[in-house]
Amino acid sequence: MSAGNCREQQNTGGKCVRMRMIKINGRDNVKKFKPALMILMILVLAVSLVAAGCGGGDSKQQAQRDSITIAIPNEPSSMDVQFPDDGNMRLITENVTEGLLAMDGKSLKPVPCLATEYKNTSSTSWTVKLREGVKFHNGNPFNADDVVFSVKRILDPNFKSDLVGYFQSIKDVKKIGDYEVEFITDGSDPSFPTRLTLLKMMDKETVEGAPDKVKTELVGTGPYKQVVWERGQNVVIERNDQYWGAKPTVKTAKYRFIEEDATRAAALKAGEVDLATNMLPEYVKDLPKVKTIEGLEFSLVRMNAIRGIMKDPKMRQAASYAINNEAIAQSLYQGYAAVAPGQVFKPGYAGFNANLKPYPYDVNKAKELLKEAGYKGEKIEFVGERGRWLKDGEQIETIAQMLREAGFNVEVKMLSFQNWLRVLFNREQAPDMIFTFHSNDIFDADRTFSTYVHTKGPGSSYPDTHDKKIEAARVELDPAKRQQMYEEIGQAVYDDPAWISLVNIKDIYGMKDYVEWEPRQDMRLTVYEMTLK
Amino acid sequence: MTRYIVIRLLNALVVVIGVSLLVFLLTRAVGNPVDVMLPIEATDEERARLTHQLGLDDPLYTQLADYSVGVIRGDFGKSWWQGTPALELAMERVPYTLKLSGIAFIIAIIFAIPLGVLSALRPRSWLDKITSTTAMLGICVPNFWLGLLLILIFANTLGWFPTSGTGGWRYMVLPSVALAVLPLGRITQIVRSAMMEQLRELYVVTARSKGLAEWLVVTRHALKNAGITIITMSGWELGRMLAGYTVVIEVVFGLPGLGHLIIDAINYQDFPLLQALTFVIAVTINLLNLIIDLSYPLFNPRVKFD
Amino acid sequence: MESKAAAACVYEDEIRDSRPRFYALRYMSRKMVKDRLALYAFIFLVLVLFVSIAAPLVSPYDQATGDVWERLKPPVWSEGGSPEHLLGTDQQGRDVLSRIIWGGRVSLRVGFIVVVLAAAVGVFLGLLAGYAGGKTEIIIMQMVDIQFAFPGMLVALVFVMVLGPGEFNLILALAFNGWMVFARMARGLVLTYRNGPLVEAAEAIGVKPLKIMFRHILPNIFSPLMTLFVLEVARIILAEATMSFLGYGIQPPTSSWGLMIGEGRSYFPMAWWLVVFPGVAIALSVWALNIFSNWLSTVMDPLQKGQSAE
Repeated sequence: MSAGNCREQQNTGGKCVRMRMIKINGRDNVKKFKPALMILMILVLAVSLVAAGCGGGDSKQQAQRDSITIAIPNEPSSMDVQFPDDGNMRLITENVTEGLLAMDGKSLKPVPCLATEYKNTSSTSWTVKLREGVKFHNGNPFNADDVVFSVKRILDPNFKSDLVGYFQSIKDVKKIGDYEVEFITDGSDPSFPTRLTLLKMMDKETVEGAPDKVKTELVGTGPYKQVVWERGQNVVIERNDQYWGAKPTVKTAKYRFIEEDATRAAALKAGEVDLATNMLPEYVKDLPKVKTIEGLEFSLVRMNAIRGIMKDPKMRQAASYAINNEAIAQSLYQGYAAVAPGQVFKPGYAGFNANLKPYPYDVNKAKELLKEAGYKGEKIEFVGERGRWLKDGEQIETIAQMLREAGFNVEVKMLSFQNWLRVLFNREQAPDMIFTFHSNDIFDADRTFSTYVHTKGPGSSYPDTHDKKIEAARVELDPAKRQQMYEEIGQAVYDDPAWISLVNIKDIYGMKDYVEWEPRQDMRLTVYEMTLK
Repeated sequence: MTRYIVIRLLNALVVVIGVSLLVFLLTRAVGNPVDVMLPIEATDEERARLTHQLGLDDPLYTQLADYSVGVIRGDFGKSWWQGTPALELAMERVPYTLKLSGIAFIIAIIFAIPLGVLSALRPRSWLDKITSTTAMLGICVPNFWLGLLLILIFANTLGWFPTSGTGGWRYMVLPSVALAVLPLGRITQIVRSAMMEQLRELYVVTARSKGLAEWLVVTRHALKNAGITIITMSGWELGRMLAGYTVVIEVVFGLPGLGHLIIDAINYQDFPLLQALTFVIAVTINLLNLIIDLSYPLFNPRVKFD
Repeated sequence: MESKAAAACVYEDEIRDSRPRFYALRYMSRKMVKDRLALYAFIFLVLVLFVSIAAPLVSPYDQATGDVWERLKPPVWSEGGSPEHLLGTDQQGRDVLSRIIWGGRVSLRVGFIVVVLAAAVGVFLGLLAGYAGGKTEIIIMQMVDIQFAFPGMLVALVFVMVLGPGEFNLILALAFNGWMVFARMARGLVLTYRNGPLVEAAEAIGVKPLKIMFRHILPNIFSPLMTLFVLEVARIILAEATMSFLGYGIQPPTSSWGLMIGEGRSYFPMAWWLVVFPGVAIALSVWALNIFSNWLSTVMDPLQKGQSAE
């Protein structure tokens, strides 16, 4: 123990190891020690280090442009497209795997992909004809067995896929022929085709052969195949020359994970990457080329309509009038956000209500309503988080300040993401207000209302006024009738607000001049739609 | 000697078990991590199912027993976040962190020892003043802040080095410099004070009076005797670097090391991964300490392990 | 466990009366004026302390309130800056100067409370270990050894993950990792007194052990502990900044220097003032504390006179 204890005397200045020793060296030497020499050595070393750094220069070769490097904020958690609900993964895997149907980037409608046609044969059954002659990247043919396997895999409770929530309406799937399958749904499900776009097909033989390998090596049917995944560094995908559809022009794409926003932008400017996602509006003027699109994400402040001070609809209306959405969109987001149209849907979503307009910014009206509601400055708890979405923390604090200006006594409580989620899901102890972003991946009002309005919804703090209507609309097969029902619910939760609809943020992509690509509303990063000049 | 090593290893074992147990108990106190793992729109049934599948509804002692048995077999379970064995994930990152810390440490030592020795030789000289100020600066400047400045100046503005990520040696320059500054300052101070003490010793006076060359007096005698202090303190710095400073530097520079993985594991509340990481780091630090202890005889043959 | 070499760790250097010489204030102030660097550091510390305590009075704006339309305005001397915001505004249009003032308050508060907690626990255990000896000492020092081998940052991060981020939890996490430094030093110092005439005499007339520890031993080892205290405050300020930078420390809308850097770093390329000023504030404070601690040790420890650099 001796030496061990000794060295830990660090805070007494290491006095303990002072060994009093007398050493006598026989050799004599007359020369004096020169500190200058040592300084010189250090300087030389320092200069050479720096010089070596400068000498490198930019080594990136840009002779033939058939490959692209893409900077995304985070690394995927897995390559098993059926397991996690992971947006970072999808930025890559959308190019590698395909579903029976695909989402059209413009119309947001399902279009045939690995299926050639689909029919609703009865209210609870769908038959799907499969594309013939499609091969997985390892050469295995794609057929009905793979479809049945893929669907069953994702629905298997033991597999515990994060995505299973999207497919709960699917009760069973049956092979009819080699290239035909039948789906049985639990009740009628009008959004079934949209759901199919999220269900990616995997090769039965590959997955069964090496179930663990699937997590890191993805085999699909898509226009690109995965080449390598260097953990913590990059993923490389390469054009699939056996692809059944149109051949993409970009040969290889390398994804790099750069978490820091400023660094991602700097890497683009320095030419280390050719395309960078999730750019801040402030970067736009410094970037070589920018493309934006209104994304799926709407920010909203959910208000507690079942208890507490916000239960009074007048309070909730007052809060809606107090928010200057325009300032958030124009200054905080520098115009790269659109004011939500009185709801968290966009035209084109099933259930969009064209009659709704955003609440106007009117502080006096808000104050008036507060007075009518008899508000006396009771404390209002406003829960938020930060770091998950673009400028979320800043938005929360801005909103809190606007509410204060209208006379609300708001107290902001910033929580870590996990604690924030816990609060969001707890109906019994719902705070007066909570900030969240809502993303409707299937462009269907049901997703939103089922989550935030229906009393069974995990994020709901609203009375059961609309429960029946939401349930009825969910299984309504007549699109016109269904639309009508959703418009009614939309109007109702606007008048007696369940939440304040804030802004729909735009996704900003920075890219080099030679990259040609139009971003998509559904946030898919489609390398197969890119071209390089 | 063998006895000493055995005792030290047993000590290290106690530490590793202690840390692992602490982290195990702490993580179990978090509450249900399932909420983070599922999408917001997931239902209560989905949550309950996942909780059960992860064994989080078992009593604590059962979880602990399962965990202990696993650790003995070198199995920390699968990472909840990535779905692959947690220990594997952690081990994958070790080389990056070791490389980064190693380079930074070498930079620190190369500059710190000559600077410290020189300023000890000429206390109160201009050289000493500059060195002391620089050393102090190194200690005071927050390394993550320095990292940001370095990126802005040398990558953003001048374009001499890449902004972040991994690749050739050019990718290592900025992060290792940012990481080296703090230990550089500390070690310089340590070398200086250790050398000053040695230089006051009788044997130095004797050696000098015998007309021994000054550089020999300094290197052969004083520096060698100051060696234990220097190596001990430097070892501490290396340990702190491995388990502390690298976290923030790896985050700033986007390097795929252990530190970055710690932050990921915490963000995703990935308990198995966190436990594996704790284990790997605790083992690394303890091994490092052991190696340092065992190196004492190199500097002072009088040190005996008993 | 304790062997000769360990005992040898305690050198006669420490066996000296190191009671604080507060009665020699004039001597201290003279030393201070002579030592320019220490003087500047001291002045700076006093300034920071004053500004922090008087933050509600001194700060030009509220730390949490900003104007969205006045985002990212540069400091007054830059193009586009205005005298309304001397150091510019941040990403939410809040006044940077005000946030630095309030942030200093937080940093100092966290640093001070953490070190007081750590020192209280550490010194007590160290005194106990050194005075009681035997099994108590072995157990306590074993705990210290184990804690030293802990990956401190990792444990702090896990702590905060469990308890949730926030000032109180941050203080707990940092104090948990800070006590053993004091314990080890206190024990080392106690050993030098343990068998000295002072303690012997006290024991002979039947003074209770606790009283001996706190009345007779503690005052004698006070000044090296004081030096360590100041040094630890500096270290904790850096640790707080790091944790807040990573998002696991102080939470917005409260201001903290580390948090300001963390929140501002996305805007660094176009708004350097968001990152540079808080960083300078951290560096200067830590520097001043270090210099002050150095000076304290020279002044309180006359044997070291002339050994220290300045």
